[in-house]
Amino acid sequence: MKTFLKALFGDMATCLTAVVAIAAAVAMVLGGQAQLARWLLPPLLLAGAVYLAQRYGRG
Amino acid sequence: MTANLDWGVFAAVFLAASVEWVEAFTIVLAVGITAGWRIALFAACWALLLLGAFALSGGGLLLLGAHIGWLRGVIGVFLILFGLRWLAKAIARSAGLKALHDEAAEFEHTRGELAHANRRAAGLIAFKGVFLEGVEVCLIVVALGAKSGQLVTAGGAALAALLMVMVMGALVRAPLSRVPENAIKFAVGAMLLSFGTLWTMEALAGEAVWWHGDLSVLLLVAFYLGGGWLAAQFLRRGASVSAEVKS
Repeated sequence: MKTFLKALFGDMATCLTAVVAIAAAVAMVLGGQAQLARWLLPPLLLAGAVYLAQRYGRG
Repeated sequence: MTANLDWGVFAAVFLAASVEWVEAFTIVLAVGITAGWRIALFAACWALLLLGAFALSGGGLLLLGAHIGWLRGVIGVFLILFGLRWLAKAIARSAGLKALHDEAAEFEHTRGELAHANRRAAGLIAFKGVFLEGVEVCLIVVALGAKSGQLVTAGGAALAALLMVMVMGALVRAPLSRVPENAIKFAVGAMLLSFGTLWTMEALAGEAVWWHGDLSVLLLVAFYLGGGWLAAQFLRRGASVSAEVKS
């Protein structure tokens, strides 16, 4: 079951990174800054991917 | 489901499915050689049947009565989760922070596991290998296929990838270790992340949020590919500098 859930959602670090990036975009859209959110989400996700790459590198 | 073939969806699913099927094939090959082909193929077929049912029910649930806004949001978040993981691993491997995935080593590892296993355990290893790798394929098929109305295209791409891996595997009869897995994972990670970003933002702020609708996905793919490549170069340089300092 644990392996199945991990295949679905990934590890905790991946989930939290995605949640932080999406939550930032949601907050900006709710604050009326949808145009800014579309510029913000891709760099945030790329930064998240780089952070996770370093984490995977450390094992 | 439309009659028009969406080549973007087809390519993304085909590449993603190829990588996963190669991994599943390696496990089935190890079981087949060690414990016999009958049990390996029997277990693999059961896993594929279960995956088919999983994909059909998942796709059906998403298509039946789901509000388009919610559908976009749920699928977008799933694609971001998948894309983030794939792109991060591809960056880590390109930067030399993580060893490249080695199908030959995976094959030997599975054979080692099977050395003390009975036939039933061997069947379970083959079943688990095909099922777990296939779950990722199913989710990508359902996510990309259901949202774009291309469920048949996405399913066909996954089956085409399975057929290609099976034919190549039957011809080579060895682990498919020459597949440029990291390059494929880099491209697919960028594509999944791009579709995920596009649909999540559309769910949050409406379709008008992007410049030219779905065409914006091309800019996003270029951004994630270019940014990921630059990040990998930067991390590689940083790793070699710290190695020089230590020595």
